[in-house]
Order: sequence, then structure tokens, then C-alpha cells
Amino acid sequence: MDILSFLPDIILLVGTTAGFVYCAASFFRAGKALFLQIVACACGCVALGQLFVVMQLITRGQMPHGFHVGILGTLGSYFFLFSGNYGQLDGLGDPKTKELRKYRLLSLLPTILVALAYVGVFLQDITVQQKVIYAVLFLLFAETSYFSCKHLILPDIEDGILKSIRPYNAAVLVLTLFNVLAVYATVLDQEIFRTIALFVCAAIYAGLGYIANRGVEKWYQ
Amino acid sequence: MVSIMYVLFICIAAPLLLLLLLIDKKSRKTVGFVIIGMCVCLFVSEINSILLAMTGGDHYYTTTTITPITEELLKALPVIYFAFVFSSERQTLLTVSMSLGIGFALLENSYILVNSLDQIDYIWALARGFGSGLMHGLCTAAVGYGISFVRVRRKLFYTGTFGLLSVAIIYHAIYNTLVQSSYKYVGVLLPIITYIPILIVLQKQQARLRKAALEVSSAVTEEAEEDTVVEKSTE
Repeated sequence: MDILSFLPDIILLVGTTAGFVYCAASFFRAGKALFLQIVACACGCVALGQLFVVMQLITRGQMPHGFHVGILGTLGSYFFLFSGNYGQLDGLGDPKTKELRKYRLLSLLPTILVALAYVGVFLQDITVQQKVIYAVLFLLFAETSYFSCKHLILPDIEDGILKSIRPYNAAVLVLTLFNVLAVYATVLDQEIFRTIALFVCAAIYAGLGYIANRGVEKWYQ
Repeated sequence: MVSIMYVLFICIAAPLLLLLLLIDKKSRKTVGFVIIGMCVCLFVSEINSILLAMTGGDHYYTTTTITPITEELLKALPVIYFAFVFSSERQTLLTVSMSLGIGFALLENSYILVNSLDQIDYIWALARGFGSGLMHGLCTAAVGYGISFVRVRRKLFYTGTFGLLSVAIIYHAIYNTLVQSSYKYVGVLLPIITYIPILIVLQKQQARLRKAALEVSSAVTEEAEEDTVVEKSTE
């Protein structure tokens, strides 16, 4: 069993678990914002999914092919991240006026990038099952990247929430783009790019809860 | 041709059904959900047979990917129904969902026992009882307990339910992966290692709630006594 070849996946497991442990210890208390608990759930989902992947690597020596339940971890994580931005922040930060339309249109740029990346994945020699799985995954990546970008560039007109939470939105946007890179690198069998992507994702997941917490505390001051 | 699964179901469920008629309302919920868990197991066994055939008999892929999804989804349905129609109170949901999971494991273990008579020993029994039995109970209990939180938060309901199901499915899949590998004893210990801290936290929560209830009750009694003294002195 060659542990070194599994190192990127193990690092991702360590990063996501560290992020979840921090979030679970800090955010599930009385008086803590629901938004932070959502971020904790996002980290928890991806950590558990990655644990399954690592267990498969240790016991079978290879990544599961096609659909596997580890993908549910990433899906669950992005459902939570999307829900946090759309359900919690969008209502507070975007007054939905015509003057801000140009920011909403600009926010489509990462979404278009994700969609183009999916086209690239679709055209590769992969099974129909994989194309469907990646379609669902990339749809969530696209939606999350739209709202993260929007909350990053939208002027803070309402009550300061967007300004204080910008580092979090920047982190989620970068995380999404590197997750896209990780999938792309897996499909094209580019180990170096996959390793870089997983290392960056691990670092972001490890610090995501802390960044979100700093933003929320700043808003409450 | 007699199906051993249905024979086992009748042998175990029949006396439990008769018991339902004699016990109090609270206990009836627990025993009732054990029977529902067994019904779910029966239904899932039929579905898993079809799915195993569809995957070309790939037992490993079916047990690490397909069956965790079908089993956890179908176990969650009665719990979600109960939460919406009857009660979303946390302790009640925890009880009924754990009961359902245990009932599922009861029939599953019985079926596997009957089909593996040449392999059984006390170690096997302990592994199935404390491993698989507890795992099924914990996965369903996690969904039930979590539903009590997400049920009251409308914006979180869909993502929260998906997240809970994902956690249960992935945990189940990790258990199945480990018990089919050379790390099977790690797999068997996994539910026990998960159960003990959860039990400690829940016991502490319940002790805190009991203490708070006692303090409130003492305060009310003291006030009532003071009122009585004031009334008597007025007289």
C-alpha cells in the first residue's frame, strides 16, 4: 500500500476534519448564528465523504470508480454552502434594485467559467454515469460561485453584512474553483494539478469556519 | 418455496404485535417502531436483491454504495413522516428512530444468522449485535435527532435533510467498507466508539434538564409556601 500516492486525499481529510472540529466546538452553542452552524455542517459533510474515500484507498488501494457515496459528502457540503449564501446572506445583503444589476451580471463570470469547465469534462471519454454525477456537482458549484462572487463585489448598501463577510465569500469562491480544478484533473488524470487542488481545498476547509466567525463577529460589533 | 425472511419476520413480529395491545402508550411507540423497522428491512431486502442483479452481482459495490443509500433512505421515511404528522419533539424522535434502526438490525441479523449457521460463534454474535445492530440504530437516530432541528428552520429544511441522510449513508458505507476488509474489527468497534460519547453527552443534557426542572419546581413550592405563611399571618 503506497501511502504517498494517497497523501493528497489524506491531507484533504485532515484539513476538512480540522475545519469541522473547530466549527463543531465553536458554533453549536446558544446564541451562535445559524449561518455559522451551516458552515459547520458543510465542513462535516465533506469530511465524512473524504473519510469514505480514504477508507476505500486504504482497504482497496484505489479510488472508487463512477458514483460512490463519498461524492454525497461534497454534494452535501455545497448544498450547505449554497444555502448559507442564498438563504442567510442574500436576503440581508442584496436589496434587488436595478442599480445593482451590473454587479449581478458580473457575478455570472465564475458561473460561466464553471459551465465551460463542465463542457470540457463532458467532452472527455468518461461514462454516462460520471457525466450525470459531474453535472449535478457542477450545477452546485455554479450556483455557489454566483452567490459568493455577488456577495464579494456587491456594494454594501444595507447594514454592513456583506463587507464583514467578504473574506468568507472570497474563500468559498476560491474553494469552488479549486474543486472544479480537482474534478478536471481527476478526469484528465493529471496528478500534479489534482494534488495542488486538494492541498488548497484542505487549507481553505481548515480555515473556513474561522474566517466565517471573524466576519460574523465583525458584523455584530 | 418458503422465504426464510418472511418466516423470521412473522416469528419475531407476531408476539411483538400482540404485546402492543397490552402496553402503555409511550412503550407502544417504541415497540411499534421496532416492528416498523422490521417491515422496512423486509422491503429493503427485496429491493437490494433487484439492485444486486442490476449491478451484475457486484457484491462489494452493492454493499458499499447501493445498500447504504436504499437502507438509510427507506429507514428515514417513517421517521420523517412521524416528525411531520405526529411529533417533532427531540427525545421522542430519538426514541422512535433508534427503535426503528434496531428493529431493522434485528431482522437483518436473524436472517444472516440463519444463512450462516456454519460460521457463527460468540465473536460473530458480538460483532453483529454490537456492530451492525448499533450502526443501524445510530444512523437512523442521527436522522431522527437532526430532523427535530431542521423541521423548525424552514430555510434549512431541504439542505439539512439531505445533509443528515448523506451523513447516515456515508457512515453506513464506511462501516460496510471496513467490515469487508482486513480492518473488520475496526469496523465493528466504530459504532461502539461513536455511541459512547453520544450517550455521555445525552445523559449530561438530560441530567441538566432534570436539575433545571427540579429548581423550577422548588422555586414554585417555596413561593407557594411563602404565600401560605402570608395568608395565615393576615388571618
